[in-house]
Amino acid sequence: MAGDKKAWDAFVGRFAPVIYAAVSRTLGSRSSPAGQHDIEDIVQDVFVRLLGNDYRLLRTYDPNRASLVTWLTIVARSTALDHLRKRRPEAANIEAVALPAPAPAEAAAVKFPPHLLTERQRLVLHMAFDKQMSVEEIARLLGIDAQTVRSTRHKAIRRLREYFDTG
Amino acid sequence: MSNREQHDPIERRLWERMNRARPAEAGPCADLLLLAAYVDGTATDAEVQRIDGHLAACPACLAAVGEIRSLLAAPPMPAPKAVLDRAKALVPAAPVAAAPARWSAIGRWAAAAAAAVIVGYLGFVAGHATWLVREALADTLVCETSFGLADECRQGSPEDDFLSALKEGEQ
Repeated sequence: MAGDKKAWDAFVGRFAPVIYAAVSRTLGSRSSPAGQHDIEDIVQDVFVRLLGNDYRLLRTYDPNRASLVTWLTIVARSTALDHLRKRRPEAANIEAVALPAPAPAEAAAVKFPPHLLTERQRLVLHMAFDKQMSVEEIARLLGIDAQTVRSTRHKAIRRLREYFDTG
Repeated sequence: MSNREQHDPIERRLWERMNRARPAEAGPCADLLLLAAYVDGTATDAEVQRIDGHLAACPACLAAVGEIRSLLAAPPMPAPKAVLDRAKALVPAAPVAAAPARWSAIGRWAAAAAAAVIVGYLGFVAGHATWLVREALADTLVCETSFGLADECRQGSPEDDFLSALKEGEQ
């Protein structure tokens, strides 16, 4: 137990700033009227979740897959959003906006090969055309450079042109 | 000044035509670890493909990835002492066993001397470990803010020992 205490204290000392920053900024970006006390309560909730059931959540972390800072940031953000949803049930739908379904007749009229575009090409075109994101914004979100975004977009459009020109 | 690119209307129509006929299918959202791997660029090609496909159909997850990257790119924020103390208190210190009542004076002196040596050694180890944790924290902050490019990213870290210990406890 003494060893667990030392290790836990070291873990808290090291990663509390990461968790605290993620919770504060997640709430702040939504103009939530959360006070300092709320932020501290949510941070504490993150730690409770991590060590609950004999560190069950923390044991799911695999250092071979991703960095602990990234994983904890995601856990902290998710916990902050859960608190927001409990407070404001309508907040549960803030991020989820359903995409419009295609008209059935139109969908059946055109047959596309399943791999006409790669998933990455589709995603880039979706972000550019549907989300109106700039090349820099797309690059930042995907963690790639702007030239790769332009190249991906160019190849995707070329494939679509080739398909429709020969179809 | 807007930095948005002007889209060719013909290109937009090509995309809309394809997207209407074969809209992206959302599928299940990625779990925490898979999402972290995707953000860190350590997911497998197949996983990246699956998540790319999911992001094209799930606005919540697309927004989440963007926000997570912003959170990781932001400067560190020190946690208040109250936050640290409260979290540390979740794991209490082990109680110290009471000394037997009938020890002789010499026995008590010997026990105190041995305890002083052990405490001193543990203090050195803890201090060294604390120094290692501080260094590793500094390395982590440098590593994270350099998007994994700094030399510090290639070194091991003390939290690996903690997490390894947790994993070993499962076996």
